[in-house]
Amino acid sequence: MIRLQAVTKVYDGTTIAIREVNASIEKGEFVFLVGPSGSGKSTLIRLLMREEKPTNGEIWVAGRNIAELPDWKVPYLRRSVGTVFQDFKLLPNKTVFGNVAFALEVIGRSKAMVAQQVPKVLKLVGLSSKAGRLPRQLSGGEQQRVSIARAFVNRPLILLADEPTGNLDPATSVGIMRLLDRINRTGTTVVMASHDHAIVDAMRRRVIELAGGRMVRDETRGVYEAQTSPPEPLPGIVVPPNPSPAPTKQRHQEPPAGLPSVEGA
Amino acid sequence: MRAEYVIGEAATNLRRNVLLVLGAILAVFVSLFMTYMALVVNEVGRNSAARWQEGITIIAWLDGSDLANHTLITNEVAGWPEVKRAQYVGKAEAFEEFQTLFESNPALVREVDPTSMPASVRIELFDNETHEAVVVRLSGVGGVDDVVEASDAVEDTLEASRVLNTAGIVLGVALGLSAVVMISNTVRMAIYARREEIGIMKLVGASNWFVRTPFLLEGLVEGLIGGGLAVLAGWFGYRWFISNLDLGVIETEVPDAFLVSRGLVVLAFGAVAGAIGSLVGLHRHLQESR
Repeated sequence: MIRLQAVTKVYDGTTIAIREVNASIEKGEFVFLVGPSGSGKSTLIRLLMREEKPTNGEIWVAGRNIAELPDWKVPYLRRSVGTVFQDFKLLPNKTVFGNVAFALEVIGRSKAMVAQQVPKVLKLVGLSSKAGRLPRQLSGGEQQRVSIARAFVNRPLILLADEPTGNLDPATSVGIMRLLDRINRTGTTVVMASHDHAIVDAMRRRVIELAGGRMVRDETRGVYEAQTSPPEPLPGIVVPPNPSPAPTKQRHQEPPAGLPSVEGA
Repeated sequence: MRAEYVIGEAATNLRRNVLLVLGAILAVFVSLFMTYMALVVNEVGRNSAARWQEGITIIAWLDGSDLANHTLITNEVAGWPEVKRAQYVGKAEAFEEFQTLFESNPALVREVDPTSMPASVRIELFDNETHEAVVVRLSGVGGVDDVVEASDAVEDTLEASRVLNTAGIVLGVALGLSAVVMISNTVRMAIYARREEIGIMKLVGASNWFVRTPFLLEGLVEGLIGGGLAVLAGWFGYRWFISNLDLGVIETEVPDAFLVSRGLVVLAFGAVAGAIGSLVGLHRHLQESR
């Protein structure tokens, strides 16, 4: 699904944000990008959504080298890549429904499609009852759910999340992680940049660590810090039984009984 | 892309920045009004002077009515190196010209005997600086009765219309550029006011044209309204001017076809200025990646 080959990103000819990163992410994987501020996590996310072009190397997303993608094709790439940010990026003058519908409207989807898809995805994120609210009438966690709904309403192949829990308290963050986990189980590849130790340790997914723009670690079922004994997983988060990505047959499967309803989070 | 969406967005932009939009429209209006007026005034000047002076600077009035002799003189003059064109105007043609010139005064026309109109050679020079030498030589030619140089009045009219024309075009271009800048500023402000929304549109995969079209339409509307006002003001202003001011011999009437065709040019220029203005304003904001 995603393949990075010797990717280097240099800003202004002097600041090296990413050095020679090689990585391969399969369809349906859930990958954490970890590392301190300035290690290159956000740059890597921006490279994957083609907000930046790599200085060197190839970035293959869904079978296309997006380093070579002409600018006018970028919008079509973005339609298969959902994005979620720390600051939610919601339109303050649109309702919850309007914000999610916006993602479909601007790519020219019909009103019928909007009317059909938006309630479905609002139900998935547990905001059916708040469809008519404005973002300022919602809590941070709810706003992030709206933003996730907007990223997912178009059923992207890949969901990129840059510090999605960065502005949220730990309890709310757990709810957001359950939601991302659930989306991942539908077969969507999730790449999430985070420096939230508790979250990364609890999820026990693949961890790619960056330091000074270099990839210093790539572990399946990893934790935030290398070589620490992992704490117990958070209640409700199901640790995958094996290191391989979620097999396709698990798609559309309801989460196991142990995972509480998303509505409650 | 739904037309309804594009028009709605453009209308929103226009409403949100009323003052800026008015400024842009005014800039287009002023610049195009000046250009339009310069075109009309130039045409007036050209029309009134053209009767006599289609580039002709010297008229040699000829004696008698011997066509063979007149042709000989015309051919001789035409052969001079300074002379670009020598045109023979016979008695009959001269009378016709007289009739058209004074058609508003039929009494005068009736008084004049067609055969009393003198034949002439109308001479156009390559370089007007040589006119004195040519006049001297013409006076020496047998059969030439009198030599007249372009009257000062006609020269002045021509000169004035030339200056007006140049000034009009220079002003028009300068003000046209300012109109483009004003429109691009307006569009830039509209984009700035909606940068969040545009950022999100691009995030979720709206095509560049989807983002761009409403702003393009906004610039186009501003340019067209400004140009339209300029044409209307120019048209009625000119009509008022000729019906209230009598400039005597100067022909001030310009055909409607001229006003319409130049009006369309001005309108098209307004639309182009609007489109260019908004594209300039959009350019930086729509660059995909560095």
